[in-house]
Amino acid sequence: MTGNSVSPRRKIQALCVSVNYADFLECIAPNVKHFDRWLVVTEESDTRTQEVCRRWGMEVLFSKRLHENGAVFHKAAALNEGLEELDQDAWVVVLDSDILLSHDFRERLELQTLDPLCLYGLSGRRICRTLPEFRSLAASEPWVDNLIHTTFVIGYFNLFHLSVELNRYPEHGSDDASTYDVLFSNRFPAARRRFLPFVCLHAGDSSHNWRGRVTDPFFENHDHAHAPAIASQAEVIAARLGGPGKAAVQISCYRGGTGKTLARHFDKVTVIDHWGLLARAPTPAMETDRQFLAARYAEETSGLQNLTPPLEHSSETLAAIPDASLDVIWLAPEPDYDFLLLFLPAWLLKLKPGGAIVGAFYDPEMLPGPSRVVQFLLGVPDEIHSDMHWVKRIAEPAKFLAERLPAPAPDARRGVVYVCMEEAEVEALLVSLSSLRRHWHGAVCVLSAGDESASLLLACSRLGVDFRNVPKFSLMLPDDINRLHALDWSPFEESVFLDAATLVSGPVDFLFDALETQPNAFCPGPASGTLQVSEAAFAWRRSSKVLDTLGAMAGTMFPFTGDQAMPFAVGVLLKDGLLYLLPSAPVWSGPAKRAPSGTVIQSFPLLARAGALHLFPPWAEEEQALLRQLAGA
Amino acid sequence: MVEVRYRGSFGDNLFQYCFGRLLAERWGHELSALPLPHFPCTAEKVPGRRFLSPFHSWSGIAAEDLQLGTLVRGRELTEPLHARLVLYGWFHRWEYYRSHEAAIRRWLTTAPPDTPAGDNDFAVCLRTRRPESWHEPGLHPGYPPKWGRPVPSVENLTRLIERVPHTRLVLLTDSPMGEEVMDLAPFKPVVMPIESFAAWNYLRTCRRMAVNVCHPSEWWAAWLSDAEEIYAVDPWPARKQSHCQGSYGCGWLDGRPLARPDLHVTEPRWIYDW
Repeated sequence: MTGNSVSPRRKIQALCVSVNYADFLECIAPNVKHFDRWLVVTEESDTRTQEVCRRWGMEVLFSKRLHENGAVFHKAAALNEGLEELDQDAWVVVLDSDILLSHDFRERLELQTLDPLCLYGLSGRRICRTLPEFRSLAASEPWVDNLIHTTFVIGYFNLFHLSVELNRYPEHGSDDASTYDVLFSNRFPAARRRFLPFVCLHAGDSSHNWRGRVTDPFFENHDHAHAPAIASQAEVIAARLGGPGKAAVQISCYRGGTGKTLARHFDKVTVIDHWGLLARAPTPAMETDRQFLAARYAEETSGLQNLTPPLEHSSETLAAIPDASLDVIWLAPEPDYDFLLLFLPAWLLKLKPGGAIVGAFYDPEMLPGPSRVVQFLLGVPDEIHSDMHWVKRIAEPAKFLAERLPAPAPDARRGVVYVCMEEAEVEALLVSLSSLRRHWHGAVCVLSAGDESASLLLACSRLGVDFRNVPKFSLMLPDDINRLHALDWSPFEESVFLDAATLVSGPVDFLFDALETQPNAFCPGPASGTLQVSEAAFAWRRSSKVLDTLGAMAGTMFPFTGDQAMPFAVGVLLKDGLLYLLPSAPVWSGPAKRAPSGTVIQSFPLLARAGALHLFPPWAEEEQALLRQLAGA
Repeated sequence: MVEVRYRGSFGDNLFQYCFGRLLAERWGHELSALPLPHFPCTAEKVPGRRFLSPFHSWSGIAAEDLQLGTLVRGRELTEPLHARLVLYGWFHRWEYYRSHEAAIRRWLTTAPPDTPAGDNDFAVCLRTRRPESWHEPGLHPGYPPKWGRPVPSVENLTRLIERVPHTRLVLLTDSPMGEEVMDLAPFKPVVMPIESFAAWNYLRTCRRMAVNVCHPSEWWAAWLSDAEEIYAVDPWPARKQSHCQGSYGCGWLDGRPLARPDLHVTEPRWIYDW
């Protein structure tokens, strides 16, 4: 028992099972400071785990029941062996041996009101798949981005009091680590399963080792786990960009360190409260924690005259900052597409010509997600530092913004609509879009049905195309019917639908022209032999009831005809004269070389594959250039 | 700023829009929500305060804070959250809407149906498919989505149809060729596909109707209607009586008591004991 530097009001013990997990246990060993004692259940043969425990002052218990009755990895039994050894009048944190808690976990936990009858979990975790990612995040709290939340208190972190009735894990149900935690959580009434307002880091990928360790070592040499952190370059960058008369804005505040650094080099630093240090938190537990964090920040930055108090990140705050008044925008949070798409239009115009955006978390190899977002929206940074800070100078912010994020055409009466149902369609859609733009200069809207496609949103933002994330009508209906329902969300009075897997080789105005005399116009691919929406192009007026009728008919037929529901519905509407079939056939869905003359829209199910591009040699280079541009290369 | 991200089908989207707009107007925040198809007033701008951060997200059948997994109630709903709030949930609780009926009726104004209901129409909704919201993770384990037996049962419906005076029976169903519809053939019903907007718009003009409370589009049609008699099936076990049988089950496995839907309307025209 060692490592505890806190004077606790509560006695808090820790328990984990670690078998062939010494690499992960090494990474999370700094948790030891939070606990009055930490018991690790392992096996006698696992000498590496024992070595880690000895170095960090954890207690060791050899399990006798881990493989009881031939069990593969009976984690519940092993945990119960450990629980028997702990003090029964105290709290216990049962955590997985790959979970790193916040540096100030114990201090903040002491402020929370805990009910001994409850089971507590954490409100989220960040999966760190590589050691460099884990190390970089371990050194830079708060961890607020890319968290995984669960609706249940699950086993990576359980806090409960050992004096209560429900103080042992159920051992029936499975002989591995897959379900014991859910069964345990279920034994607590719903009102007694609660979440603490803290999050953690998860070293390595999750959900792979339920039947014992199968994943590769997290690192080869344990020295790697605690190698000295790479020195922050913030001071160097601030010194170079700052100077007399210079002004900066600091987006987000948590600890006082960044503010102190900026205050040394800039005459004025406006601090923006990105993480909600000021804002009333929605629940009492969060509010308690917020007050602690706010008070700590205030204390750490007291006396810095050129640092403003944290300001709300609101339209009023933005309006009070003149355009072209800032030399530097210092962005602390992890770059995230959803936030940056709001942030850049709001803040770029505040930057002086030649001003700089400074950020963190840039390393294309280690953190590909945030790095790609920066590349895509801002371009490759001018400076990339070893601690993952980056600097992008913007010569002409207004021009840069107009080029990078052009505004979609406002309130167009007619336009072309695409529907994207899944990520696999994105590339095809972008190729189709590029072909359309040669022949159609009006408005385009992309409807992303279901989960928002980040890559499509970013691409549409860069291209000035209206993007709308709309609901997927029913999880039980096939894509063709859901695609039809998505079209209800078209913003245009007169719309033309094109499928993602089509190339446009001529003007599509003929479809709009048909609406001068008809409420709708349907144009199927003649070679397909079917009437699938995905192999057709069609136009409709908003006042037309054709989508509603077609969708209802197809949905009604689905239980009886399955995937043929849509062709059936189209056939019925044609027969009833509710659907106007264009007499000519400018849509072709057969082999390209057999396309009749006059073909305008060609359907290629495999358009996303590179081969499709080579069907049209004169276009290939242009399409590829567009894709390169979209990728930010 | 309150941002609405829609999920599920038509009736779900009405809850989501109204919940977002109510919060935005109450808090003086800007509303960011796509206008709902067929409801032109939902394209109205709702101006107000705009926050770029901090970020909060509420989801769930009731409003739950995504980060804490706890219900948001009382003061948390009434006092403005100085944050960017993204709503990505269902919000199927009448308590959120009951005091705002007049405003909601205006927001959800729509063109009158081509063929409104006759005075002596009796509209009966017969569903074989579970609502989208029942897919909410954590609430309904063990019930995979599937086509199942209709709600309410044909036996109960037959008794009701015999009792309620009408000259024309209109069956709104997602299974017009199902055996339940055939069983009701002696009543010579007119059959309409229930998933269309036209059917919904017709339903809200009916004076007498039978609906499933758990299907949000039916609930909305009934609540927004001027119907005099609404025969309702409320499948949740906290209620006194349920006509919900068969593969639907009658309740929520392991559902948190406050997190589940509560669309039980305490108006005299809503008749549950039939």
